[in-house]
Amino acid sequence: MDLENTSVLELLLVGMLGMFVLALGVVFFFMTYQKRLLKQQNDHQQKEADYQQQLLRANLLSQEKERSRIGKDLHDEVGAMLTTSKLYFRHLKQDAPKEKFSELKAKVFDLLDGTIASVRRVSHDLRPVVLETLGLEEAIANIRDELNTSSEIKVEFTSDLSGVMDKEYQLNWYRIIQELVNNTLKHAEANCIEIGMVGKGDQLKTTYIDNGIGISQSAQSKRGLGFSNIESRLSLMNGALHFKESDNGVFIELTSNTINNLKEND
Amino acid sequence: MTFARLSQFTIVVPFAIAIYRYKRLSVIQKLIGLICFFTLSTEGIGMIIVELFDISNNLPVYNGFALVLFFLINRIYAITSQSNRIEKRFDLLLLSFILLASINIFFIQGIDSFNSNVFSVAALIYICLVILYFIDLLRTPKHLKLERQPMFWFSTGIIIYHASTLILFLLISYVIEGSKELVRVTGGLNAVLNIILNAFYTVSLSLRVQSNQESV
Repeated sequence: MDLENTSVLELLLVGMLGMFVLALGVVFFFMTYQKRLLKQQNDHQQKEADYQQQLLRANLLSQEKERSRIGKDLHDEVGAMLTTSKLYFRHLKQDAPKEKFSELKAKVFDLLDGTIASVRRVSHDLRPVVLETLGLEEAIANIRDELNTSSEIKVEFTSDLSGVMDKEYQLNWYRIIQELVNNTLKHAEANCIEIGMVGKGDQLKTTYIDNGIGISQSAQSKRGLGFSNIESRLSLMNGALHFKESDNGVFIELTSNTINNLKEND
Repeated sequence: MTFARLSQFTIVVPFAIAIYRYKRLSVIQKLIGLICFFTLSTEGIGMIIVELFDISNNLPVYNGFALVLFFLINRIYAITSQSNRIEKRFDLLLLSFILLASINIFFIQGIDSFNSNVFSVAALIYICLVILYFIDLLRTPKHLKLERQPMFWFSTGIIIYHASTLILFLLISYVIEGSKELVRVTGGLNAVLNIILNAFYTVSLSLRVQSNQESV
């Protein structure tokens, strides 16, 4: 083969080999990068699934705890009072002396009144009447009034809700506020709570502040049952919870997008 | 039978798979099957022209095949493209290529000579289409297992073959005018790359596309 042909052959071989290697390199680079993205996607999906499972577990645990408490209340209070009433009724005889009859009747009435009050309380815990009849703002105002009456803690509540919220969302928010208040009462050693609710357009923003001992960073990341429940309820409303910086106590901002459920008043 | 001739007929393998699995093939796989059919037909007709009709120049068949191949590959990537907005650009690309090829055939290189300009431009376009497809895949929100995607195997075959043979087609006139040894060596290299390409066609046609996959 002459020199020219050799040069052409060499050029061809080098060129073809070079392009072959380059093409392989492109494919290999793409495959590696895509595998990395796929792994990231799978990891993210797994984390999401784990988180959902955690929320579900917290939800179920909370339900069982609630059922257990209601069962205990019914047994210890209502059950005990009805049993005692039944004993008194046994002693109520038509031929008993008038004074004894009146005394027994009065005791039975007291017990029945107590029973009715207990049933009302259990029923209110299951489904708060104020929320059903007057709405979320009034229900939270009711919590505020009850706590302020106790004079152990001062609660301030401001609201600016410019729409009518779906009943399910109102109940969720009521439970969230209840949970936050219970947390403060049990753990925070606070004497002041501020709750603010602002609803504009498709967004509802709630701020919750107390002047207690606060929650450490580690406790914030390690969600207890209460906060898991709150997050679970917020996730149903496409919402989120953020811990804000605070010198003392707790400053929590909760939001929910309620675009389908915040209806403007007619 | 020479090695080059043998490599040409390895296209029978993916074509046979396409026929056998025709009902289970996706739209893209059917188009790949069509590519195999036209490739096989071109090789067959080219051989018949030379062997039976004793016509030494069968290049017009291959020049025509270049247009058909471009059309099919253009359609494949148009369907695969994630954006409807880009589909019109594929139509524009196709029309532009046909115009360029026609001008080359009738005014520049002629139908009886190897249209290296057409083959080279087509190869460059194929390389770009494959790279755009890869970029598109990386951008999709849902990532899929590549080994289950017929389009991935098809694109890999296309980029390897056309990138490797680009230099060959650009220098083809020197090869044809060169010594027999040069023709033999380059023919052998093309034959190897042809076998690799047909192997990738085979893999892409063998894959079963599940209905819940977002691939085609």
